[in-house]
Parts: sequence; structure tokens; C-alpha cells
Amino acid sequence: MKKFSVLAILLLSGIHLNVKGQIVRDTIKVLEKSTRGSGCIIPEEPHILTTDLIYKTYCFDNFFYSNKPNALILNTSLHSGSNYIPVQLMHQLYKGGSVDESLRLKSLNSGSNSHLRIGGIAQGQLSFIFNFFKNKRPLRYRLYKMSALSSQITVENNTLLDASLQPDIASLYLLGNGFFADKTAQLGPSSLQYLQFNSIGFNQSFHVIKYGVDPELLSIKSLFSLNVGFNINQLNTYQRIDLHSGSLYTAPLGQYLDLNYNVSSQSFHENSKMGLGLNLGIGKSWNHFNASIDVHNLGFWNLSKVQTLSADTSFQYQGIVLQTWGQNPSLPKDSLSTLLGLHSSTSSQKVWAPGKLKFQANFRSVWVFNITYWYTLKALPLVELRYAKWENSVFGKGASHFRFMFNPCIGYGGFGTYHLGFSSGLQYKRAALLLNISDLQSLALKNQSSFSAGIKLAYSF
Amino acid sequence: MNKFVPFRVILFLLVIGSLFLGSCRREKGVSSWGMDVLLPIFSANLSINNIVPSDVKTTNADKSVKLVYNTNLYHLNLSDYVLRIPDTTFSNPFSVGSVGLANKQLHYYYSLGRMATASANSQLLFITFFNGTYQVIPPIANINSQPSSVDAGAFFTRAWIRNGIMQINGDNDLPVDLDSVTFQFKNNDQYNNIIGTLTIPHIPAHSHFVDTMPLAGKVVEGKLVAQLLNMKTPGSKGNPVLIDTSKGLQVTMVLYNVTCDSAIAVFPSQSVIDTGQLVTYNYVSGGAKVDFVKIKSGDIRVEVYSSLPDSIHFNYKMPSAKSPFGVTVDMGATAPPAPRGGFSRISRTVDLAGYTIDFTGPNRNMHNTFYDTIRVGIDSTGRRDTLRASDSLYLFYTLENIVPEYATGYLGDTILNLNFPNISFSTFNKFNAKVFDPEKLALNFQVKNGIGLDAQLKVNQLNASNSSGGSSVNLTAPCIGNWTNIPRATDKPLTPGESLTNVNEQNSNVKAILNSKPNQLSFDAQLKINPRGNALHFKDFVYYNSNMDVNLQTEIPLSLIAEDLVIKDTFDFKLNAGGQFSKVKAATFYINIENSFPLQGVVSLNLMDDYGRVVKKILVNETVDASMLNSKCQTQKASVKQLKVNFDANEIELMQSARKAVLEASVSTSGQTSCQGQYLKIYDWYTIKANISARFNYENEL
Repeated sequence: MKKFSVLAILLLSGIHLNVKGQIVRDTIKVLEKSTRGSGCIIPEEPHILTTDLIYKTYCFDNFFYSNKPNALILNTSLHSGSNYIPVQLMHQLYKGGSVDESLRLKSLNSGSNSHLRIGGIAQGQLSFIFNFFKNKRPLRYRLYKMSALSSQITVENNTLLDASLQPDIASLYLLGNGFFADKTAQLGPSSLQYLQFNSIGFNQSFHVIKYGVDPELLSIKSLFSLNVGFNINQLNTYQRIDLHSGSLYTAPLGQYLDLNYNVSSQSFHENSKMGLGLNLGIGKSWNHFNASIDVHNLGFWNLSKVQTLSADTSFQYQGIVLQTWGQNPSLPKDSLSTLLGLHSSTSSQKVWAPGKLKFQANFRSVWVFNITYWYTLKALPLVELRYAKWENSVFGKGASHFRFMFNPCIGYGGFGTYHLGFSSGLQYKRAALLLNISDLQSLALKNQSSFSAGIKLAYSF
Repeated sequence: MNKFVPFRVILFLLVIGSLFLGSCRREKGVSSWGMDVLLPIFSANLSINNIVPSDVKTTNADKSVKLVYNTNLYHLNLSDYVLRIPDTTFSNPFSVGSVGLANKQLHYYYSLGRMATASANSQLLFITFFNGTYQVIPPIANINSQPSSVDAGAFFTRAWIRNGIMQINGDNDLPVDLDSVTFQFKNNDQYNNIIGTLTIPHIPAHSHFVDTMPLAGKVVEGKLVAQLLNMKTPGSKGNPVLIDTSKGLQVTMVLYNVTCDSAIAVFPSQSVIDTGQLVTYNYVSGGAKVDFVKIKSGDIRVEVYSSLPDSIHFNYKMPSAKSPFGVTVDMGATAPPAPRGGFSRISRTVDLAGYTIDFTGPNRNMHNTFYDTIRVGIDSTGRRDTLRASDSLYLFYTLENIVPEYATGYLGDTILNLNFPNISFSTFNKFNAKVFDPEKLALNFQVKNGIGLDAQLKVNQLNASNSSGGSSVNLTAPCIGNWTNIPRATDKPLTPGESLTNVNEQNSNVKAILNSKPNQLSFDAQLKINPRGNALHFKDFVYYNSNMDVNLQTEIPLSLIAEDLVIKDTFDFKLNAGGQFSKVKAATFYINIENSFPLQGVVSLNLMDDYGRVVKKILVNETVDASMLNSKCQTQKASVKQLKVNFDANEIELMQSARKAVLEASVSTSGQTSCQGQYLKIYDWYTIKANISARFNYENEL
């Protein structure tokens, strides 16, 4: 548990880099290169809609202007939060020193007795973008043509904590069971999941175009874009605890404790286990409006040696029980697992990869709206609205190689609740740096419960 | 857009970033917060069954309780007296007695030609001139031959013969009868001693003849001289017969059944010792006569010492000793040749664990006696050795480390004097009180007899005294000076016999003994084993675990009047398990006691360190009231005592150095408002419930 606690605090107080961009105009330059060979007329600014994966692999989150086909991107991010444990408390817990009781009480009371969600996703990622099909002819069918847009190889490390707890568990941890004298603390249902895995991903983006024969349509028209790919996921650690039900009653003066629980836990600590995840995306554009939907890392691990502990028991603990006079009191000789009624077994189990489903839409490539849903986690769908606008005039004419971006965003969901943040980027020639802080309100107001941030470095060649 | 706005934005980011990064630094190491933890520490629900060891407690029909303490005055076990089998070695010398030589054959042929030339008989010589023709042979006398060497050296060099014969047999191949055929045999050495002379009166022509010559007492060399001393023939009686000088008298000498006192020879395989014997074993004094013994552990070791110059085989059998599978002891080995002038040795051991030995002899009519056999033989080695009848074998067989598991027979009769002056007696020390007055105190003599024999006990004196200078009291009771019968145990299953001699307040001075607060006893008695002798005719038995115990049984009914009866006990105590208590900043202990015993107690609880120093006084003379009694002087309602003890951080730190908890209670029956002055019974349903819980201010850390 301590491990999870530490991780949770790290996640909640760490850095988040989770910046999503939109279509950018420079995409066209690459498209021009790939379509000129066909002899078609290329519009100045085709409204090409790509999927989220294509953003990642190609457009560099709407801030990286480059006409080079290849790029390296280093991306680290952390998205973390809770529905009501405030960052102030987490900050205090992490910072060290005494944690004031009023802060603890205020933190617990802010939950209004609702289920405590807490978790985070930390990710480190290195991507190489190139065009594997650079010199290949596009696939044609009648008036349709599918061109390869870009290829991407990504290596990433992911650490994930996802917990949904009864609020009494947090109260027990922060206040002690004296707070529950002559009361029953509800412990379940609660669950906690921890995953650590590495991935290597192979993705390919395509662009489907229709050629018009009508004079009015004597232009190419983008139909949609596609992304297909897969991830090879190497699972290193998997732990899950499900407290299906449970309660703890503390007698008025602590004369005894009544504990009952129905709990199961699975853990996997073998060297590693390989799994496969699929990536699919499709995007479409309508004049100034673009939309896309992606599913990322849809797959699982088939684990053959999952250590399972389970218990469905209740007992009353009365301390050390003196059975006979003269006996030296001592704790029961049974092992802890026997005392707790735990049954151990090893079994095969299918564990879903923590994939996500994402919908994104933008208007004039400036207003971006997206919904991200981690379908295997307890986190809420993350809804965000972002304003994306680049400026290259702020540095004056003599500094035309510089570009600057400051994008505010507002959102709700994920591991936290609502959030307000920004992403800011700076590009010089072919190199770019992006900083993102999604939870400014947590820094400013202290009683907020989430924090996300991240840093991204990119270089094209 | 104002061109300076972005700079302000960058500045803002830097400020935020520095704040963010600064806040990540752990300034004080760990974070901590106080938790209010309520925990049960200790609970007990003790009746008298849990307080008093079960082996000293008996419950009466009315559920009142009586304590019975046994003090062992005398303990008799199997190895003490009844059946002790000390390591015992039996030895037997054996002489070889005689040595045998193989039957040998020596051949000799006297042809007509050799006779003629050797005897210088003119008639015989004349006849040889007609070799191959038919002639009438006249009577011829004085036929003899020159001595001829007969070499038996391949069989023996010299033999001092005790018994045996030389058989002479042969064939007369001549066409005429022979009369008075006389042979002589001599040693072919410097002395030419005559071994024997043999005369055969008549040998018909073309016939076989047999005769013998005794060799007893003769010294025979391997190289002999045989000579035909004299012979005559009546001739062919006027009939012409074929003259053939190659024909003659064929003689074969055979040595039969020759045994020697000594011989230098190549000896044949033979048995030199083959004997059986009865071995009588004396076990114990008192005339014990054992019939069967099952061995728990131990072994038999056989050692053979040999002076024989040849390898010997020995075989030892003990038919009366059988394993659980019915296999008898049967061991054998080969001992190497003895060195010149010395002995060779060989040893073999058989583990007798589980064996049963029949000590009734081969005909089942004896006792303490077993039967064994020993056989020793030699092999023919083809080597020439000297073997003497005086050569010896020494056989030692040892029963060692024998522990019987079970034995039957008659275990003897004797009288044991039991005189033990200083027997520790701690029963009354357990009741350290100003007043301790149990109702119906008794001191009984209990004898538990786990052995299958009859016995009698006579207690001459039992003296109780206090070593620190108290008075000394002799027990006066009817049993003193009189024999008490002790029944024997019964077998299969083993059921001990028991006798109990009641000594109580009515027939003795036990209260005076109690009041003297004795801590030691002096015991003088006699124990008679099998006072009627072998009345059951060898039906006694004893097991390895069989014991006979003489106990002093002190019965203390828990119907008593007590004042300041001190109960004190010490428990191990270690508070700082896992170091967690260092995080306790303050604590409140809640102690709840429900007492249904009709005893008032003044309780103290102290914590002590390894050196016996009081670290913390938890309870100081806290009074726990007696229960409320009804008109029958039985508990109607338990008393309740609740205590609350606070500890600050310093006291908790002190408590962590404690290693012992000493609980002391002074209990009295006088705390009652009713039933004053009466004996109060302790029933087995009385309980004392104690519960300790604590509220900790616990400094949790992360």
C-alpha cells in the first residue's frame, strides 16, 4: 500500500505533458510532396482531417511547423488527480512535515461522502516519424486514391495507478479508527489497480482522396484519413485489489474490532509478458470543421501465472487473548495469511491493456474540442476545450525563425474534476519545446484535486 | 497584440515552474500526521479451569473445585529394580580335538619279473626263461622283493595319527595261488620306523584281495618304504600255465579315516568344532526367573579368537532369539589364519532390537536360560600347514546395552527399604496467605503400580518440616506402621493397579502439618515385592515404561476461608514490537474487569526491565471487589471494575524498555458482606473477565 501511496503522490504532484494539437497548415506541404507526382491540382489549403494519432506523428500538436518529412519527438507526461483529495493535501504529504488535522478533515469533508477516485498515468515516449511509403505509388480505385501519409515507430514506458475507494478508507488512513468509535467504517466496494508496462508501436497513416471529373469538382477532395497500427506491450508489473465488500466496526473503547471483508487480489511479477494492442483511427473534414475518432491500444495480456489471494471472512479481534493463567501472552502463531483467511492460488487471467477512446473535433484549426475515455479505468471521460493560436510576429521581423504559441484550455473529468490550463510552445527553426500545465487552478486555489503537466521536445529533419 | 505580452507569459511560466519544482522538494524528510487509533490489546475470560492446571484440578458433583497436588515420594521403574540386564560376556574355549587327513591311495605293482630278479630265487628265475610259453610251475617258497619307495608326500609330510587304518587291496594277476604274502611298511627317513607288517595267508590265482592295517598311534612320514617280505606259491599243481613276466601282484594302499593329533599336511575341508550349549543368565536379585524378554534395544556381539594356522569359518546361532519376522540369530564369518604363535580375531554383531528371547531353554522347562550353537570349520587351502589337536578357538559372546521392552516370568521377591530424608514439598507454598483455611484438607498415600507383580507398602514415618526453621510435624494416621496391599497391574492393555490410603482431618493431624507450612518431607517406608512369592506361577510382567510410584496426594478443596492470599505471576512483556510504539505520542489504556469469584482482590501491575527494576507502575493497589453472593453463598452478580490509565510520550518510551509484567493480587474472602466467616466454595463456572484496550495518538508517517 505504501508503494501505491507514494506513487499516487508522485502522480498527483508530478509533471503532465498531455498536449493535443490540431490540424496545422504545414501538413499540406507534406501532402504536396506526396501528391504532386500524380499531376493533380493541389488546393492551397485542403482541409485535411487526420486522426489523433496522426497529430502525434505528424503535426506535433499544432505548434511545430516544418516541411521536413522526418522527426524525433521526446514526450513525457503525467495526468493525475482525484475527485476530491485536494492537491494541497497531496502537496503537504509529499513535501513532508506535519499534516494539519484541519487540512485532513477539510479534505475528507470535501468529498461529501462520495466514492474517492484517485489515480494517474505517467508516460515517457520517444517517437520517430518518417514516411516508409515515400516513393511508393498510391493505391488507386476508380476515382479514389489512398496515399501513405506518415509512418511512426514509438517506444514508450507507462505507469498507471487507478483507484476507486470508499471514503471511509481515506478517513481511516488519515484520521485513524478512533474516528469511528462505536461506528462502522465501510471498506467496500473499493478497487485499486497498478500497471507498469513498456510498448513499442508501429503506426501508419493514410489519406484517402477522391478526384472529381465534374468541372465544378475538378479538384481533389479529401474524403477521410486513416490510421492503423499496433503496439507490442511488455507488461512488467500488474497488481489489482478488489475489495468487493467490507466493513470495520470499532467498539466504543476499542475493546474489540469487527472486521469483515470479501477481497481478492491479483498480482503478476514475472519477468515480463508480451501482449498486443491495436490502434485504429478515422478522421473527416468539412470545410472548417474537422472531426476524428481513435481507439488506442485495444488489446490485452494473457497472463498464465497470476498470483491470486482471496478472502471472504469476518472475525472479531480482541487483542492478545489469554487462554490460561500463567501463559505468556503472544500473538497467534498462525501466519498472517491464515489469520486473515487468505487463500492463495495461481491462475491464468486476461488483463486488458489500458487503452483509450478519443473523439476530437476542431473548428478552423483553432478551437479544439476533445473527449478522452480510458475504458479500463475508473477515471471519468476527460472533456477539454482548447484554443490554439500561433504567433510568429511577437519576435518581430528579424526573428522570423521563432514561433510562439500560448493556448489556454478548460476541461472536466479524468482523474480529477474541472481544470484550467494552458500549453505554451516555442519553435526555433526545426526544433521545438512545448510545456503544458493543465491544472492551473490547483496551483492557484490549493483545494483543487488534480494536476497534469508535461514537456515535449521535437526535432525535424 | 502587444509584443510584450508573450514575455509576460514566459515570466509567468517561469514563476509557476519554479514554484512547482520548489514544491516538489521534500523539505522535512517525511510527512506525518496524528491518528487516533483504538485497538484491543488484551482480553481474557478465565474460569478456575483456565487458572489452575488441569492435572491438579478435579470438579466435584456440585461443580465446586478441588485441587489435588501430587508429591512423588518414591519412583520405581524397570531399570531400577525389576529387570536389569547388565552387559554380560560369556566365553568358551574350544580345542580342535583332532584333525583329519583326506583319504589317500598309494599304488604298487610287483611283477613276476621284478619278483624273480629281486628275490634271487633260482626257481623263479628259471621260470622266467620260459616267458611266453606254457609250463608247469612247481611250488616255490621264499619269494620276496627289495624295498620300494612309496611317495605320499603330496598329501602329507608327517602325521601323528590318532586314529585310522591303512587298507591294502590288490589283485593277484599270476596264474598260481600265493600263500603267506607278507608286506612291510616303513618310514623312509633316518629312523626307518616300521609302520606295520601285514600278512595275507592266501591269495588265489587271478583273484582280488583286501586287508587292513591299523595306524593308530603311528607317526607316518609322507615318504614310505613298502617291501614284500615273504611269499610262497604251491605252483600250478602240474598244469601248464602261461608264463608272463609282466604279470604280478598289484597292490593299492588306502589311508582311511585318518585323524591326527598333529599333522603337516594339505588338509581337507573339515569341521573342527560343532557344539551346542545352554547359557544361564542371572538378571536381578530376589530370585527373578524370566521366561521371555522382548528387547527394546541392544545387541549381541560374537568374537572369535583362533590359533589355527588356517582360515576358519564360524557360525553362531541363537535359536531362542527371534526377530519380529521369526528369524533367529544366525551369524557367521571367516577368520584369517592366526599368525605364528598368536591369534587371529573376528567379531560380528547383531542388533537385537525387536527380538524376543525365550529363556525357557530348548525344552521349555527352564528359566533365565537360552540355548546356542557354535560351529567352526576350516577349508582346504591346498597349502601345506601344521595343524595340531591342541590348537584352540576362544569364543566370546556379549549381550550389551540390552534394554528390555517387555518381560514375563517371575520377577522375584524382595523388600526395598525406602528412606528419603529431604523431599522438596512445595504444595503449601503456593498458598501464601495470612489465613488459608481449606475445608476438608486431606493427605493421601497413593501408590500406582504399573508392574505386573504384587506389592505391599508400609509407611514407617512421614515428617513435614520447614527448612527455614519452622516446626517439624510427624504424621499420625492409622496407616503408619501397617502394611497396605498394592494390587498388581493387569496386562493387555496395561492397566496400573492403584491403592489409595486416605489420611484426612478426621483420622490424622493434617491441619497441623498445613499450619507448619512445610517445604520438605522426610519419608521412611518399606516396599515388599511379591510378598506371596511366585503365587501366580510365572505370570509377572513388566514393560519398559512400567513404573511404581508412591505419591503423597494433597487434596485442597476450594471451599475456603482466606485472608491476603497472594497470587503473583510474571509474564513476558515487550511493547515495542516492530518499532511501531516509537510513533505513539500518547496513550490511554482502558481496563475493564468483571469478577464473579467471591474473592476481593487488591491488584498491582508493574512493568520491569531486564534487571528487575520497576519501569512503570500500571496499577497500584487497585481494589477489585468480590462478587455479590446469594443466600447459598454462590455468586449472584459479578463485580465490575473500570480503570483508565493515561500515558504521555515519556512514559510510553519508558514502557518500551520493559521486558516483564508482574501481576500481584492479594485476595480475601472477607470482602463479602454476606456469608461472613463461612467457607466459600469456588465453582468451575466462576470467571474473571479482563479486557484492556487502548487509544493511541499514533504519528503516522509517509
